[in-house]
Amino acid sequence: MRTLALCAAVLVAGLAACAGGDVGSPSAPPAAPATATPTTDDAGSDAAEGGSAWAWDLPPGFPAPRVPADNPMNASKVALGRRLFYDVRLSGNETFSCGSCHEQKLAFTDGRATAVGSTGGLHPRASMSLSDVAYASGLTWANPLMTSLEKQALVPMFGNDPVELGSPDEAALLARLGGDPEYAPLFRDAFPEKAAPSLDAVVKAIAAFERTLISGRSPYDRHVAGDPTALSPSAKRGMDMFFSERLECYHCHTGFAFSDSIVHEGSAFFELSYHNTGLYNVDGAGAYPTGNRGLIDLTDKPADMGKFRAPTLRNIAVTAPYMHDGSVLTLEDALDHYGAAGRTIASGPNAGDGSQNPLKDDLIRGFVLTASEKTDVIAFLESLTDASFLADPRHSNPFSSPQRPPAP
Amino acid sequence: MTRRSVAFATMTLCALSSATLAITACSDDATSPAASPDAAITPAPTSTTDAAPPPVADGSTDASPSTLAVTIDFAARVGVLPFTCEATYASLGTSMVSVGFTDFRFYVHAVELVRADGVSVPLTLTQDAKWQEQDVALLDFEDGKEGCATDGTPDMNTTVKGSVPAGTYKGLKFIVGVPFAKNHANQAIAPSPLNLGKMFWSWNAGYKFAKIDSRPEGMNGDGGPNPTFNFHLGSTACQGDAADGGTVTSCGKPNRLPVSMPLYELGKSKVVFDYAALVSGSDLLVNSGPSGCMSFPGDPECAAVFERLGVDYATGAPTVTPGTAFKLE
Repeated sequence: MRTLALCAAVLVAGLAACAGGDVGSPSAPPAAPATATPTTDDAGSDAAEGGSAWAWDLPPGFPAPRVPADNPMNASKVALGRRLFYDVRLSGNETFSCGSCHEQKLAFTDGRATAVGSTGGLHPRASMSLSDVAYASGLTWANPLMTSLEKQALVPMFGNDPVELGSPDEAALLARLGGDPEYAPLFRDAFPEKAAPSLDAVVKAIAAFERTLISGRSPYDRHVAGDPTALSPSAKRGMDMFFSERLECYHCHTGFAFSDSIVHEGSAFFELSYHNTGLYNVDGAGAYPTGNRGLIDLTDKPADMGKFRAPTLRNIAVTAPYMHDGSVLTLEDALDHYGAAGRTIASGPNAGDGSQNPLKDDLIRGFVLTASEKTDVIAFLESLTDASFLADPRHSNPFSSPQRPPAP
Repeated sequence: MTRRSVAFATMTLCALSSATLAITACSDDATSPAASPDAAITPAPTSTTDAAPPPVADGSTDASPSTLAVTIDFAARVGVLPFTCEATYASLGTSMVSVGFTDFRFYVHAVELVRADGVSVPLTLTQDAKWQEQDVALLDFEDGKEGCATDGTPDMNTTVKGSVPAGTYKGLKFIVGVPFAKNHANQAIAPSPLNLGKMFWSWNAGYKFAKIDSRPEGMNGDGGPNPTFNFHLGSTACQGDAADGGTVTSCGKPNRLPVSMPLYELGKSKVVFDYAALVSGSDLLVNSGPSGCMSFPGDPECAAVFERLGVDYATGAPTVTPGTAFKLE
């Protein structure tokens, strides 16, 4: 997660409203209940009461995530997924794990502008934060077909342009994992309905672990819960600007997860939006740089040029640099980008006036902030940092040795 | 690089056996274009349904006099030279560069033989639990050596095996790619050969129909070390039901290639895929965006490659004039 589009309005208390609101749509897909027993209507449901019961540890005011019917949560599965997430055996050369590009202390980002894979291949996009990824209705920066964490896990494993993990094929991967005696009982307890470990089980376990990466105990959350000392006066002023029509930030970064593309157990509708924020305009007609054009690369629709998903702003202060390509280095720069209603690049192959991008979202209108106001808005954004999440031992690397090799 | 360098003078020659080069895109003759949700799906032969093919003597192709065991031979070439992962091939593309390879695989399905009376008869593929699954087969020309060591495997497959009812046949049809229903099913539980990670194209919700990757010498890479000119063929502009796990409901550009070789003769002919022809209109030193041609909309390197293949890059449908990459010999 690396974007931020600023917005504003005042009703902080309304933030949590979408959480509990529309529970119980008859058309909503099956979702896991907030406690223990998973529901499933899939084959093998008679055995689906996996390993151990599951209870979400949700921050106050947070709804339960929506869970696929064929991958109910259980504690063994989460433990298995955590181990797999941090296991370098998933990469072809056994140097990288999921955690190499998704470091807990950086809200599961990597601190780079754009990601680097296990073999040195350069990714065109920035590693996204996994904060509250369970609630993301769409995954990655701009892929409307990628709405399941299970399916998404195959991309870093097997994608080869660029190579990310470069995982070996199923049989070789399972043979590798079989060398770790801790896996057999974990697989068995996590998937009692499965006779043996499988690629399907691997991606389901990783997805289950990712769904537990819920961040909602920041100073801002304590403020919402009624603690008058949780936010500094500066952060409170910044909050008022964030939720104002002057800055317009909150339209895209809305709700408990600070994103307009959110789904959860109680969602009656499916919302998934993409926005062009005027970051580029290389041809005067709205084009983004070739090879990194956003939604249009999937849909082939001209109007989708430069459109990307608004990621959550939770823990945004620790996930620099920002935007899909890491081309905005700091929160100050991000505010300047939105303040100018789009970025102007004076020279080079990407030169252009983003503020004149004809495909730009009409809420990117620009604003002027004094230096102290800018400081206030940033103080508010920093109040979204959840220190307990960044240090939660349940999310940490279970392996003792360092998992990340030196930067290439 | 320790590859031996193989120079050759005329790269477009292909030792064709006389009059055999007659590949047509079988554009209008077939039936049931509405069978697939793909917008511009290839004319679907009757065998492209996803029902399991009728069992033929438990998968074996020997046996009864009423069936004819068939082996379709394929070959990968670079001009006149046989493809191998260990060679470097000179003078490819418009800038005449030397090229080594890192992969050479593609899927075919809906293989049919043409009976003497002109009727196309589906080849019932031998179910080998490795290369062939229902009506889909993977052709694999890389041996996992040299440049192919990273992505490849030692196993190779250069034939499609199956059976047809006994009879007299002349003419072959097949479609390059994975049929729609299989292309968008759950890859994590798909049977072989649809469970090879390197052929997953998960970010675009499907498979790479073809993965033919090269390393042109002297290429300037913007994608990291060892710049490559990849050719990944697959369906693009896919639409899905986002609320239903992103299930793909249609693809605006199917990018499947129907190949028809009316002069194909059983036991004599061979289907050749020529990389030199595929990239004859491409400057292999130039790339912007993804490495080489990755099929998705807006890739500057794709138009020339698709034209040689025989797919209209703008629509994803077969071109009226057949491409030159597939040949019969």
